[in-house]
Formats: sequence, C-alpha cells, structure tokens
Amino acid sequence: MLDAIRAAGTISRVGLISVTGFTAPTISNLVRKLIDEGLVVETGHAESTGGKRRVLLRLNHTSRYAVGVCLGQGVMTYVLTDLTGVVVARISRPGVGAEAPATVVTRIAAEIPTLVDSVGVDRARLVGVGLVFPGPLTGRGVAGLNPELRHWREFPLGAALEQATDLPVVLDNDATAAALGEHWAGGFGTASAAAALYMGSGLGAGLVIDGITYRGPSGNAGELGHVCVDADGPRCWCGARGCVEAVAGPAAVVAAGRADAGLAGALGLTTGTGPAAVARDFAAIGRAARRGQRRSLALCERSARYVAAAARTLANVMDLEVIVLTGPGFAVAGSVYLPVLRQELHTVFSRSAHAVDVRLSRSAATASAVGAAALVLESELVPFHRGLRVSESLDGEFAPLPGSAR
Amino acid sequence: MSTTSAVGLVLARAPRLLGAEPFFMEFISGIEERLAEHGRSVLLHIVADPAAEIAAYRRWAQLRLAEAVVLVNPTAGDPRPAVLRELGLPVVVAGEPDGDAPAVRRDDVGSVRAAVAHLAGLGHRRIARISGPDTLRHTRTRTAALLAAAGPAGIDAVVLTGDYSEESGAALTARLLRDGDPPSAIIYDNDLMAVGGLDVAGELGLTVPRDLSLLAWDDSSLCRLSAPQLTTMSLDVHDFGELVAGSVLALLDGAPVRERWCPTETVIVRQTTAPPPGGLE
Ligand SMILES: [Zn+2]
Repeated sequence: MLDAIRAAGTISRVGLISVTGFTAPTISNLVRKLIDEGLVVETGHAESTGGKRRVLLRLNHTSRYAVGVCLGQGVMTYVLTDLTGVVVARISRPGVGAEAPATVVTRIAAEIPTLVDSVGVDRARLVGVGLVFPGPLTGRGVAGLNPELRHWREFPLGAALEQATDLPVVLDNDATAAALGEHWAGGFGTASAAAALYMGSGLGAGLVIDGITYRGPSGNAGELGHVCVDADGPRCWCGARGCVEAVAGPAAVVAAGRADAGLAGALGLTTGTGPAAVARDFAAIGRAARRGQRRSLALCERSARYVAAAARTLANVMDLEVIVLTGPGFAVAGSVYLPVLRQELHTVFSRSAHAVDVRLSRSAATASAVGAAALVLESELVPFHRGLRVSESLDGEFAPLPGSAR
Repeated sequence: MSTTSAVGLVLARAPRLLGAEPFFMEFISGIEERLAEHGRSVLLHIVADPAAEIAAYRRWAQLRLAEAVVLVNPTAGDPRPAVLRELGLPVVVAGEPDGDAPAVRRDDVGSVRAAVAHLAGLGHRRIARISGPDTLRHTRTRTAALLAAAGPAGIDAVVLTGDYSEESGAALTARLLRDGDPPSAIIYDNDLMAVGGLDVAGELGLTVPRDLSLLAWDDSSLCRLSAPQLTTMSLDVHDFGELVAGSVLALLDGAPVRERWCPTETVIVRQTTAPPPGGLE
C-alpha cells in the first residue's frame, strides 16, 4: 500500500484499488489509518475526466526517517533518508579495520544520533537502521567469509546493534541493498528481472525479480564475484578456482597496477594491504583510465571483459532485462566498464526476445547505504516485503562456509 | 573520536535535481579523500531551499557538529558568509568568495575564452549558451566573459538561463532550434543540460555535430557515455574537491590560507563539435 503510493508519487484512492487489487472499503480504511498516522497526506486533485474530481494522495516525506549504514573495512558510510528513500544527510567515517565488533557497534550507536541531530530531525521519527556489509548473510550477522572479517563470524551484529540503539535493525549484504535502493529510485524502470552489479572491495550482484529483492535461502544469491570465468584460473580466497573476482576484481586490477613500476609511480599507488588501500588505488587507476591514460585504460578494459562475461552469464541464467552498475568502484570507473558490458550483453541468449539494457546508477557512490535505509523502510512499513529482521531470525543458522573447508 | 571532527557541506537543491549527484558526489569524494588522511569527514546535508541551509548552519554551530563549512554555489549578494561569521564557523568557499573568505576559485573567464576560441576556430559565428541559474556568481562571470570574448571574435552570442536539469537543457535547446535563425553551436553550463540538448537535437532531425555543435561543462561519466560522446570543458571535479580539502585543513591548522585556483579548463574534443554547416565562412 505505502509501496504503491511511493512508487506512483501521487495516486488517487481509485488508482490504489486498481494497483493493489484491494476493495474500495479496504482502501478507504487503510488510507484513513495512514493519514491518521501522518504517513500519507492528501495533495490536490487529479485532472477531472468527467464526474467528480479525485483526491490525490502522496507520502508525507518528512513523517519518518531511516538510517542506512554500509559497514566496510576501509570506510563506513551513513545516510539518513526520508520516508521516500531520498537522502537528507550523509557522512563517511573510518572503516572497521581490525577493531573488535563490540567496539564498532558502540561507535555506530554513537554516530547515528549525531547524524540525526545534524539534520534537526526528532529521533522519535526514526523507523530503524539498515546495516549492510560486504559478504553473505546469515540469520545472526556477518558470515565472516571474507578473510578480513573473519573475527566477525560468531558476532550477533544485528541483535547487538538493536540493543545499543534501541531501534529495529535490518541486515543485508551490500549488493542486495544497492539493488533495492536502485529499485526505489526507479533505476530499473518497468523491468521484471533486473540486477545491480556492485563493485566495492569485491564484486557482487543484487537481484530484483518482479519488484522484490531475491536473496536465496541463505542470502547468498547473486554472488557474482564467484562466477567462474576461467576453469584453470587462480585460486580465489573463497576456495574455488577462476572466480571473476580473483581474475579481474578490483584487487586484481590494483595488483596488476602496482606491479607496473612506471604506473605505480605516476599514480602514487601504495603497497598497503587491506580493502581501504585497494579501494584508494583502484580509484586512482579508474580516474586515470577515464582521463584516457593508456596503461590504466588497458587494465580496466581487461577487467571489464571478464566482468562482462560474468554479467552475461547472470543475464542468461536470470533472463535479465536491465543491469545497473553501482557501488564505489563503478562510481569511479563505470564509464570505462559500461561500453564493454553493453557490447558483451548484445550477445545474450535472450536477444531475439528482448535486449538487456546496461546503465550506470545515478547514485553509485552511496548506493548500498541508501539501499540499507530503503531496506529498513520496507521492512518496517511494507511488511509483505520483509527482509531479514534481526529480532525474528535470531535462531537462523549460519550458512556453510566454503572458506573454512579449504 | 570527537563529534566535531566533521566538515559540513550543505547542498540546497530541488529534489528533482537528483541528477546533480554525479558532480557533487565526485567533488565530495575529492574532499573526503584528503580529509580522511587527517581523520576528518564530510557531513553532507541536502536541503530544499536557502532558508533550510542557514538553519542547518545555526544548528551545527549550536550543537558543535561541524568544525568548518565548505560553502558551494556562491550567489550574488550571498547572505551565508555573514551568517557563518556571526556563528564563528570557519568557511572555505568553493568558487568566487564574497570579500576575503578563503576560497578555491575556478578560472571561469579563462575557461570561457578557451570554449569560445575552440568554437570560433571551427568557424562558428552564432553561438548560444544555456547557463545555470543566474543567481550564481560563476554563472554571471561566465556570461560576462562570453560576451566579452564574442564581440572581438566577430561572434554573435546569446544566453538562455537554465536550471542545470536535463529537462531545462532539452526545453531551451528546442526553443533555440525552432527559432528562425538558430545558432550553429550551443555551450551548456553542465553535463545534464547538454545530454538533454543532444536528445532534442536528434528528435528534431539534426545530426550532431554535422548540423549543430554542442559543448558541455563538467566532464562526467554522462559526457563519455552519450552517443555521440560530448565534447566538454576539462574541469577535474575530484581535484577541485582535493584543493578545497587542502584549504580546509590549512584553515583548521590556523595556517594562513592562500587563495587557490583550479587549473584553467581546456576543451576535451570528443564527438559533438565540428565546423558549422557550410564550413568556414
Ligand atoms: Zn571465489
């Protein structure tokens, strides 16, 4: 219901009946309830088509707010969005590094009121916190598959943050959240099968099928980074061979750039390990590629060919209509990757039935934090589309960890 | 970690101008990259109007949430510097300052001259420019520079005022092209308006650049992804942000802050500028 009003922008009660399929009395009651709660307001009249004029409804943007947090090793991004998912404030803070999970939770719980106060919003209007992180999801928290996040493995992140903030907390992985954010922003258009390709410290994808994010039974759907593009390729940190992330992900691009002494000197590439240093150096290479610097362009285009092959695989498997490139990696280098992906997607199997539209997200740099906020809005206000609410999934089991079976 | 380790930046814009994001996100990422090295962050607040922007500064000063402010889009008769002074919030202006506030300037005059020289060199004699809002100082500076450069070069120049949105770029381009004596080249003050103009030109049956040349500002991904690719002015938005961060850090260290300048922009020739129909006159 709220989702239908949000998606439409403005809509009449009659319009809601045809969109939702509910009866007129049901719509009338629900709308009254939403107006009483202050979530929806009446806003003028629709063009009359003969007969009586219809009152239009829209969401009351400033009636509720949500916090989205993207937890990363190098940087943590916080956004505050209004009820429609539009960003009102944003701040980045140092990433979790090697900090203990409990310390990080304390830090997040202290940052959230600061962000809310900076905008002058009454804290009572917060519906909750969406928290996303790179890597797969379990019922309780971070799976800790990613080598640098291994010490988070048994930590009940969601429950701890709910306790520290006294707010509902919803967890998801960064790529799925980015896909939801893109869906809210209208970036997928009317497509019934769409994916957000997310490039952060690694490579992932979030799927939106018939307007709903598809997570799979363990939150591991769309792990694009671990699609095999070379059966004899290098061993990936996940334990498998030839994953696109290992062959051509941001870390692979940076490693190749650093190995080229001339390029490393010209761009000031570091020797630092860890995702923060990799992200910084990938951005430097991506910006140089955009300026047309030959060696950087070659590195990005090589990476793009492999990413494109993986994207074509995903499109073939899911019969995708739209692919949106998003995340900090594509925010910098998306214009270099996009033409290569478009070219590759011309050869998709479904091409005689429909093309695959490949686009660059308009909010690539903050996509996952924005999506995290959308996640909690959806979970608190649109119960049918519920994500993994922490308080209801406390007995969720951890997903099997391929990394530990090496 | 102190709650005052943030540098504030308020962006006042209509919600429908969401597309302004590529420019500002890149600008902010440039600021953030430098500040992060010193343990500082950018607090970005997006508001709908100038009154809300000033309210935000008052709140930040009162709650000590920002230790300095980056002021963007300086306007003529800008009320904000006086408010910030009164509040004791140190400020760095991104653009042309009012008085002696520390600033990082863009060489709008030199850049406009380069744009005009490029088009004049191709043989264009009727040039239009679709500008940003004319309340902005840099819009006025560019307009004055355009008119000053056009006359001596024998160029007839007109300026229409847009609002940076793709829609305004499209609508104003259509108005120019439906005119009895349309320009042979159009300069846009940003990337989005140029993308809108390129679309409209196609809809009106014109082939760019054979029938019409287009020159965009703010070299973003949009300019490289359009078909044909847009010729643009070369402002490196990320570097602009880094320069601003440098001034902020100096200001917070209590060091004297000299005025910094972005390099004068040059024309990045891609696929949307060519000699006018009929060639050189
Ligand atoms: Zn793998």
